Amino acid sequence: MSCVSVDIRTAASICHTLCSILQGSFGPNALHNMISTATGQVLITSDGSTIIKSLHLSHPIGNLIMDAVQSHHAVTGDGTKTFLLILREALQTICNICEKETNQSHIKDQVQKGQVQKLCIQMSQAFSRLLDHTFPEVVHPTILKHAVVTDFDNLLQVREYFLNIVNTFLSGKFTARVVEILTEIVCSVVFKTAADVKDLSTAVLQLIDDFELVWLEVPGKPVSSSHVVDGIILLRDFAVKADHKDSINFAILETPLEPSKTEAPSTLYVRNEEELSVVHSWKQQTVQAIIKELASKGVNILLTSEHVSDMALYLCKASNISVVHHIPKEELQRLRRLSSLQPLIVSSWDVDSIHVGQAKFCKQITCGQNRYVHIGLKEGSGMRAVQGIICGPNSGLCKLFTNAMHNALKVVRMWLDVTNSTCHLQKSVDDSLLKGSFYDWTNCGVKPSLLLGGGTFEMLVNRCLHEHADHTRDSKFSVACKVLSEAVLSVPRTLHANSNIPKSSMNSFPRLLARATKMECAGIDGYSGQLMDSNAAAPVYEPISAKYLLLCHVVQVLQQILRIDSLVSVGLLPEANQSDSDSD
Amino acid sequence: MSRVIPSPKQQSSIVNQSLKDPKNAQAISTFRALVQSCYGPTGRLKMIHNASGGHVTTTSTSQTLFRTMSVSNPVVKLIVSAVQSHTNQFSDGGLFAALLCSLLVESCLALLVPQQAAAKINEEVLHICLEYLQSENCLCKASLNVGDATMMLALVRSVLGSKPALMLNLDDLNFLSRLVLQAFLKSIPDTPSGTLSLSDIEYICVEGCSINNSRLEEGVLFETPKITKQYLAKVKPRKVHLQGGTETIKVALFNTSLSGDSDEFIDTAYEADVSISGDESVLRHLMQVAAHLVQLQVGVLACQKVVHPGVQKYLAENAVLTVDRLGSLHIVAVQRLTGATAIGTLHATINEDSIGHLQSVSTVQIQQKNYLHLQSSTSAVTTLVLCNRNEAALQEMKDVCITAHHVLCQTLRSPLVLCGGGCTETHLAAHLRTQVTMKEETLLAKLGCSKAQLYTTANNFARCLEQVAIALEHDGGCHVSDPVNHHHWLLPPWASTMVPAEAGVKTCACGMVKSDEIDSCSLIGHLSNQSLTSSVPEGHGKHDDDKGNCSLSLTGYMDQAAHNGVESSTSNVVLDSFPVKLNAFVIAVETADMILTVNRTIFDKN
Repeated sequence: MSCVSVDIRTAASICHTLCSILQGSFGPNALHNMISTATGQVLITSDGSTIIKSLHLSHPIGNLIMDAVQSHHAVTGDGTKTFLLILREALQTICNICEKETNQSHIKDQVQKGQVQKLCIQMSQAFSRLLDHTFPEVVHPTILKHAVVTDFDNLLQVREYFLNIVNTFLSGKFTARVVEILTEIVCSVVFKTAADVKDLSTAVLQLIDDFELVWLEVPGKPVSSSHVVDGIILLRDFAVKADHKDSINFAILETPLEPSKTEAPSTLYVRNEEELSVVHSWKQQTVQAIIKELASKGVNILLTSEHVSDMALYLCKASNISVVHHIPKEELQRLRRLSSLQPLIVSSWDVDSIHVGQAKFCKQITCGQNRYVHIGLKEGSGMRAVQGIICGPNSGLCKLFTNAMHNALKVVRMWLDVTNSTCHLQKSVDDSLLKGSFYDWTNCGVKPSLLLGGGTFEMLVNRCLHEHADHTRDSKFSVACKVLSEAVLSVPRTLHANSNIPKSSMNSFPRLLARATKMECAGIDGYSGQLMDSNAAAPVYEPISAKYLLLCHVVQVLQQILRIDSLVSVGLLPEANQSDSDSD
Repeated sequence: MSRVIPSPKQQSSIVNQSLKDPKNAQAISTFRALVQSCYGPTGRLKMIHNASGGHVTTTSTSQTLFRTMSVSNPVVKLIVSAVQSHTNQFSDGGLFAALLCSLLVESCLALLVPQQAAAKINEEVLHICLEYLQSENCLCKASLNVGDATMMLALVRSVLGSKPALMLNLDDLNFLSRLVLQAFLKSIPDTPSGTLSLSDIEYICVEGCSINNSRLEEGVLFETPKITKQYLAKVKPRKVHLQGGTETIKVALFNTSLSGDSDEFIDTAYEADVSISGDESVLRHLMQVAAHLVQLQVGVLACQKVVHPGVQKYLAENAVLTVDRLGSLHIVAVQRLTGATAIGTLHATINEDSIGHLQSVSTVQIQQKNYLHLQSSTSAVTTLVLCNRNEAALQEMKDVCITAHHVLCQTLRSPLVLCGGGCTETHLAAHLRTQVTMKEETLLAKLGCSKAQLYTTANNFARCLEQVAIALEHDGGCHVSDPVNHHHWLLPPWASTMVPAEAGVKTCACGMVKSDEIDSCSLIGHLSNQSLTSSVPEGHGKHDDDKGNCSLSLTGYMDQAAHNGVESSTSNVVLDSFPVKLNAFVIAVETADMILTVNRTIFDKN
């Protein structure tokens, strides 16, 4: 066991390393990185989470930071680079403060170290007060004053904001044409799934849960061939295809069609030849009876996750039943959910209407090189079934596109799903709201709202915390406020640095900041580097709750890091005896 | 038991290797040179030999090349995987895509334009090119009349002729193209019901005889060492007379095992008296099935798996031929040929509907090997017997015939063709240059780049297209293009200052434009620096005013050819399949754009 002491400087340098990789990939004018993965795939991306996952840092503090970033990403789908930028800046500022304090006094190293630790603990306490009190009471209301509230009765406006949010999220991750195509597809999928505007939030949640099944990847075709189809595509082809002229009724089977062997070791006793022949033909007759029952109830298509033997396939074909077998269980569950069907149970064999679903069509579809089965369900009252087909040059890039769309849906969820995303604001949210429905937001003060992007949130927070710091008497708390307010400015600063603006003293960031303080609410345009407000030609919007959550998470991680003072590593003891034998 | 100790993941190495790094540049340039040397009908072959031994492959096609090569540089790996995804779907056009992509990446990196801006401009340029190619007024695109044999033959010839590993002379090329086209036409069913689905052609490869022995056989052929001519004479499958006076042989097709080990029978442990034997009972059941078949007057029993020898003997005595061990490859072909439904159970009664029909059963001996030949008068299944003296060429021939068949199937779906021989590329390059000059203001406003950047990148794109056209030839000839039609002309090396008519070249590379129709031409590609702002092309030869000359279109040419009905003048036109070329073009440019946006490489070592 060994013990290594660490201090704030270690964490700051790790953050610095991570940021130096990710900095150039921030904003809409991002530079991309090529990742050569362990499995031999080559990916081109500027997505922070993908890049972080491919680095495998060995330092435990690095792992702590990465875990925090990943868990934030899992909830909001975005914000990895923002997180690290703010964290790095905050840690660097705290380091500088510690150095200044210790340099002032001329005392021994040991005492110096103790002073630094005391400072860190005090800062950590100050941050916790910031998180618990200042954020909900001061910062959040200030932000909400500048928020853009969405009117959900105006469908056009909702769609416009939707496209804007997704476009803001995706721009910079891929080339402009790909971003346009993917934005259109995400919008199309969500609006087709939801029957009504009010169901948008539930539709988004369901699509996030089903994400592996909603997107079908087709490598080898250009991105522009991606499109959305109604219905569900099953990743198998027909084992047996029969012709169906009239209605199409399908049933789902999740257990094997044939009777399986008994589990108890039993031995049959056969007395004579007739019995032996009965035993021989038993399997076939059982299956024949089952298929006859299905046919009599009008089932034309059998969908199953198990293997169907050649004998059963032949008998199905003879009774004009199409069969698709070896369907992955998750796909069948999704189909069951969307069509509200119960699966057939072999032992009981009551085939009711609850077991048989009606389909609008059921045909073969060719996507790329493979042939699949495409089922269109009759429209019910619930969510509609929709499948997105994503094409790309190779399978690694297709996977990147689907991940990006999954994250885009999470970002949209942060916008639409207000009750869950603001549940940490328990003081300002009435209890009754948490029991209410999703879209009953006319009662609460928290509505789905957006804020101008491009660092607007950060600049508003900076202003707000700066003012608050001046009003407080507690010096450590004031220092903490100032640290955080300076740290959040790293976001617009990086945006400015990555933009196309010619670098001169007239266009420097401090000057822009000074001009911005005179305006109500302004951000930085990621392409041109100039100031942008809500009257700009192409404003970008982001969901407020995502940014707010990010800030809270950053402060939580800061608190944790400030309290760490040493690393303890526990190694494996060498094996005492090697007498474990491998032979039976 | 040994404990599994998971090894900790190694830290990835972040190499700040920009795309302009010499290692990357060298890898891309080597790859480009490799692909360039294989491209076209006069391309050079590559022999691929694995250092640890194994089969030596000789090829020039992208599918085989990329399958057997292993690449370590990530940029080249990305290009290869994109091209492989394209060829998985379309079979042809892989080398074109690889060459265009690597040329674009290599040349854009050498430009002074920043990578991001170059990628954006390339995307716009792609959009312009696609708009033109997909419009009705595209001069190098034409709708192919699939009923016109000459044109279809020209298409097949272009596909087969661009693979030098086949080592075909002109006569062999014509012969093989005709054979492939015949096979394709025969594989189209006579009376399609609903959607037309084209099935594959069966192939048999025979080594040791000359290409001229290749032929098309109706029906299915497969190797059966046991069934010799004498055996067939002894067994003689029963013929049945149908209404209408025709004779047919009934076929029963089984895809379950008839040797007694099918899992339909009992599969639990059982005890029985000494007098009762499970095996005998199973055999008796099989004999019952066989007797039933004889009763139904079946002439051939075809089984995917094994048939019990006792059953075979019984059936042979009753004039039923047993063909077993068909395997999953041949069973599909036999099913399509006979129209039989594969019977999967031994217990149900066999319907008349599941029985298929054959016209004749015979044996053929090819190169001392016995083949069973099944023929049907109603089915569209054909077998192409390919012969070649050389094993490597034979393998390549089979792959290329499959590719050609696939291209023909796609042509049936979208019957559009483009001019071959590099003419489409030069035509597109010229069109691009004019369009960029015309739409300069809108483009500059949209892209937000400077004028010089726009022109440099667009010019570079056009030059890459021209270089792809130039790559078709490897012996140092001169490449020129005429200012009216912008087609590609290939001149001998000593004719760099002459017009094609003077140099003895009769038509352009695709065969559409005659040399007496044009008066002037100019060099293309890296040898010239055609600037976009100059309206008069630098060229040589007689300069005529362009007022009277309107460009020829491929559609006009093909209509005229069909009208005239003269075979000799149109027999040498080179055509490319439109869907294949379009997809290859788009994939190449999109992949190149994605690569150009890369700043840094991360290598995950785990």
